[in-house]
Amino acid sequence: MTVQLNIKLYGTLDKWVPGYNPETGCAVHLAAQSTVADLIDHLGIPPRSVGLVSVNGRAAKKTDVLPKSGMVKVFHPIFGG
Amino acid sequence: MKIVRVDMSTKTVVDQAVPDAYRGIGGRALTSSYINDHVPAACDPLGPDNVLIFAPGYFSGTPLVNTSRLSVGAKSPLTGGIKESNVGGTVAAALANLGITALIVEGRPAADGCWVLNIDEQGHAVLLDAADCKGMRTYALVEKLKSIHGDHSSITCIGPAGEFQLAAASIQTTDLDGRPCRAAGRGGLGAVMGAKGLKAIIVSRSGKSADPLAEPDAFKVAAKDYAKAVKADEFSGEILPALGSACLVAPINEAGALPTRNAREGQFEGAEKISGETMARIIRERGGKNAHKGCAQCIIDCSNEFVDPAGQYVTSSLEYETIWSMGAMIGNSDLDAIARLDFLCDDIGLDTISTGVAVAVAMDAGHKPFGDAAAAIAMVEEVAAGTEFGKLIGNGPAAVGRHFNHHRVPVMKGQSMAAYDPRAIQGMAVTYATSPMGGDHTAGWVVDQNLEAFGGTLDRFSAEGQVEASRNTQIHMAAVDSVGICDFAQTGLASPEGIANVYRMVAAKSGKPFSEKAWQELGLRVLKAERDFNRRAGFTPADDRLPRMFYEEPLPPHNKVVVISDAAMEKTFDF
Repeated sequence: MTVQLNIKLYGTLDKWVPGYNPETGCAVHLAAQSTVADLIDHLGIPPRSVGLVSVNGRAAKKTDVLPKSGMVKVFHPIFGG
Repeated sequence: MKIVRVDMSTKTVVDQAVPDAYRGIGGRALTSSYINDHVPAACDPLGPDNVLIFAPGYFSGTPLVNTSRLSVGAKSPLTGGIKESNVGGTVAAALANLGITALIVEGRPAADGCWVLNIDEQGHAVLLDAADCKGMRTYALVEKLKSIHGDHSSITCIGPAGEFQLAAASIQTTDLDGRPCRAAGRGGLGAVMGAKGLKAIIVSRSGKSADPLAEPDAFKVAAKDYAKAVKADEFSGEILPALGSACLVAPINEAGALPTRNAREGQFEGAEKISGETMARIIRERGGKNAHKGCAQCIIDCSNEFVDPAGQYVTSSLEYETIWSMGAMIGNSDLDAIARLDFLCDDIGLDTISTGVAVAVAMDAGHKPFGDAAAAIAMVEEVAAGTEFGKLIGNGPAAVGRHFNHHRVPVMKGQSMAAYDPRAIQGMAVTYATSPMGGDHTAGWVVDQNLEAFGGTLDRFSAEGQVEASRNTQIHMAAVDSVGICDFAQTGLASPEGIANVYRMVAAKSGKPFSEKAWQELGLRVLKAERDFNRRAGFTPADDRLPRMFYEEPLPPHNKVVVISDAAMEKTFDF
């Protein structure tokens, strides 16, 4: 059993994922019980370049286990006002 | 260093030495101290006793990057309290390079009239009759003034909304391209300028009399390090140039914190259509400009030029707060309409935040349906036309709420909140409720602590730690607004070494030691002056609250309400 997720990257995070299509996002397959941190590692994005991650519309912590399917959105850190 | 004092009652202009009490400070510290010391707190904000003061930040005119920040202070006709409205562009650097520490406008003409103040390259200021400028919108006004006075000046002005003395009127100022697209928007200070009959201030950008630095070499070393840090940071060095402040639309929406349809929901289904990513792509495809430089000495370039499908200029700069107020807040996902509304507000001289929220309240009250962008444009045009309904919109959301007897009005101390719903980011409830400015996101932006590092180092739905976060950030921001560093260039002071560079630069300019303790004292001095003024103007702890809707209406999709207690609010400034 694997995890199959659609990924959307925001800001300039697409620079870390060669061939990423901003219109369609990208698909990722991971082992069952993978976490949000595993996903970020798999995508090759340095954790310091990540602010908010949402899984199926809800903000997620690094240690959250990913669902079997769904949409993950990865956002850059934010600053200012 | 000098103060230029303009008396609109007598039409006289005099230069004065900076009084000892105001030496060594700039920006918000200067404007708020001066207003608290000299303006009767109970005065009519539009009467002769109010004072309008313009002060560049303490670092304006120095070699430090991103320091053309101007503080504008007065008693606010919108809140009835003290106001500091902050703006970029070129004017702060221009004033500082003329050795002008502050420009103070007082009095009120006995009869209606229209004047402009011209400050030449020697720093000599004269008041000129400008009856032929009366009623002009800002873009046409600036073109006219440039044709008379040349185009190497900074122009700070009001539009029809300021002349009508409406409580959401802005003071507009020119960017590096000479367009009046930068706004000291909050608090209705355009109305104060209008009440004084002052249509525009023209400031030569050729000054060479900036205050000397006590230790120029030490200043330059710290300033260089600071600039390197701003460039090296991913947010200010890469994301802001790519997307501008609109980069916030998608993450704030995803967090369920983007107030939608007059804050009935926290997520907007049309957010992707108005996101920074979409905006930047449209600008690129149409031949507009991303990574546009809007302010003097800027190295971030977060500005943009939004163009229509034919490639013709519409507005600059399309920013997060306006995309929210004229987008999600009114249920509008048409980015072209948002850009048009942004231009209209700049041209008429209106705060985009208060105006968008005023339209949202009118729609919530049933005046027009949410999402009707054409109706929103018509409402804003009514402000310039001077109709009775236009005056309501131009007086901001509270005026609209009173007219419709509608109680869902998201204002604090009479000023609308910004693009972060406090039910989804509790720390913003503290800032909105307790800031002496009224609903103001820049006074104490604690969104990062609530969303950073994979969902926040604070629990954004809990009260825990939120008062402390807001208090500390409000003190810090009062100091930042006083030295005059751009909000977004704070990436340069985010590290211990970065903030130490700020202390080094204050010391290197003044020639006196400056420490972390002095930084805290600077921020506290500002907040104490502002709260003292507000107390004397009649504000009590009961004014440090949010409207009932935020305590009683759960905000989808997380269905939370504000949980900060009244007692906790009152502990925010227990000094």
